[in-house]
Amino acid sequence: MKRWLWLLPLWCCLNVVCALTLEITQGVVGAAPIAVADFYTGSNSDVDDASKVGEIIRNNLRNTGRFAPLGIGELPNRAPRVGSVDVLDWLQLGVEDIVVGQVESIGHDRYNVSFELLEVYQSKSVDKSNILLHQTFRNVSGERLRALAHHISDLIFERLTGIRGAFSTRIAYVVRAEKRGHPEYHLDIADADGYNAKTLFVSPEPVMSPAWSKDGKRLAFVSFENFRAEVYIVDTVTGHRKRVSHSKGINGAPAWSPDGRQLALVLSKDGSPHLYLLDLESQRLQQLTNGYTINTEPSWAPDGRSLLFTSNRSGKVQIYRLWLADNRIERMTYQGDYNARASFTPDAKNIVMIYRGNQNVFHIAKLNIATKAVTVLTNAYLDESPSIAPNGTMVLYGTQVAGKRILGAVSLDGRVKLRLPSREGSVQEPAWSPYLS
Amino acid sequence: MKRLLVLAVAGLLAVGLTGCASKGHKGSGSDDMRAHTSGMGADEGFEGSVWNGTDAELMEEARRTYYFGFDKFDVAMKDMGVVKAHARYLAAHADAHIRIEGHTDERGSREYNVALGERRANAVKSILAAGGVSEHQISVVSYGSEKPVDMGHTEDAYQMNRRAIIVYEGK
Repeated sequence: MKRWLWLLPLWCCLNVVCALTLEITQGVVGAAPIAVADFYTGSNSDVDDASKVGEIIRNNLRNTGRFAPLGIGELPNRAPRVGSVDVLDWLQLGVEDIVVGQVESIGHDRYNVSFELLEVYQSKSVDKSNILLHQTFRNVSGERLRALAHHISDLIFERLTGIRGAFSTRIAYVVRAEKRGHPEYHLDIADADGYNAKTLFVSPEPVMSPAWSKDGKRLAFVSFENFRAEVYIVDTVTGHRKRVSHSKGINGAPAWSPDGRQLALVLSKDGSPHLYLLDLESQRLQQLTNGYTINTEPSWAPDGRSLLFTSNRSGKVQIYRLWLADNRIERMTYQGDYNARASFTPDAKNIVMIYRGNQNVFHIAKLNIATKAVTVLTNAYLDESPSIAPNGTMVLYGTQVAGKRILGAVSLDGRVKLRLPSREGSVQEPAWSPYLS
Repeated sequence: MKRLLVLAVAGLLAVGLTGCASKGHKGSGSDDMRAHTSGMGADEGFEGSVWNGTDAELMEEARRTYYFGFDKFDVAMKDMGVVKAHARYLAAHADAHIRIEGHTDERGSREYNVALGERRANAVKSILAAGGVSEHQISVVSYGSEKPVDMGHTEDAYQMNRRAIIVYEGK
């Protein structure tokens, strides 16, 4: 009876959440220098997030590894007003791009925020600047300032790299904590930079495999609260939770179809674990794989026409691709004797997966589908659960540092590495949300 | 309370074993039993098919926990005798229910480990089923690598974590 207490939506009353902090551990040599000033706040500097907009943008750009923002102390003016930049002063810093902005209070915790992205250069010995971006956001509430800073970061990143920014996305992950000597499992979500962490579900039994819906509003996950693996869907806004699969045996590895109508999942109700499609509207179940081997970890192609999965059908654990049109199954991996938990990059040209190298160490690796080349991206001991950012630039994964489980991130080219350590508990199984707007 | 239940089950199990064993000598199943006991160490407490250890020994954790090789899900020969003793007890006590938990070490992919853990639990289950235990008496759950007993990252820790456990459930 007692265990049903865990079914109550708990997140609203839980304020003790493990905070994650993002630290860059390996950047790119030759990252583009950029000057991002603090946003001018005038007399509003007492509003915490108002004074932090510039800092949030600086951190976001630095954490991509593609930019090397100057320290705030190096700037000729810490927080200039928009339109007041003297090109000569800033050109001497050796930067090509400058971001300045201001946060103006209009009362009742409302703000008008504007920013400019400037390109500075010397032409015919005349210092010039071009305005690459200039935008004003009116009537922004104080609690939305941090989200706006991420949005501005997205705009700047896209203008300078041609790649859509993923700073306004979120991450989900599982935290394993100890409470009075017993394990306690949390399903948490946070902003992509680790801020605004919120707990959606708590259980004394394991929680696994969070998977975002394509609209980023719901998460499917596995809970053992009834002493078996069952699949649930939780609404990230209301905290409302619903059980969607509880067959005999395993109910696991949920993955939303790109159209949001179906959940691919794994059931072992008839013996071996197999891939199924569950139509969320009609509850109709369609079995996709057969036989006596293990088939698990379905992951959709971006176009929804095929699924990657993990199977030991060859005797070793390898990645396969199942085409939904004709149920044809194609083996994807041949290098290494253990490849698992694969997912497509957004351009569907690469697969990111767990790869076992020599000496039983598990890394995150990338397989180029066309060339079959495998590139190992990480170098810790037990890296797991890779999840790709919606813009395909970074992979979030679970790793171990000094025996503690934390999240790490690595760029798709392996050149930039980040860590998201947590002060308490061990953090595992990250899932990067899709774009949210 | 839990302790009392354990002792009660231990008592029943011991009675059940002797009962089965004396019957077993007449049945064909006894040959099977002897074949496997030959592979067991003296410390297993079996002489032929007769349990001669104490109740406490029988209920020791080790006797309900069976360990597996890396990426393997076959029950070790040395564990067969004990699993079959559980089978005889359960077959003779149709009201007794067990849960078989399957576990793996922490290496590899989590969901694949859930599948592997289920294979281990099912390997134990099939021995019980062959011994006449009803499907309704057994539930199987795999926790994969989510519930290690040893939190270490050494080969020894991994061996302790690659296990299936028989848990007698109270009513």
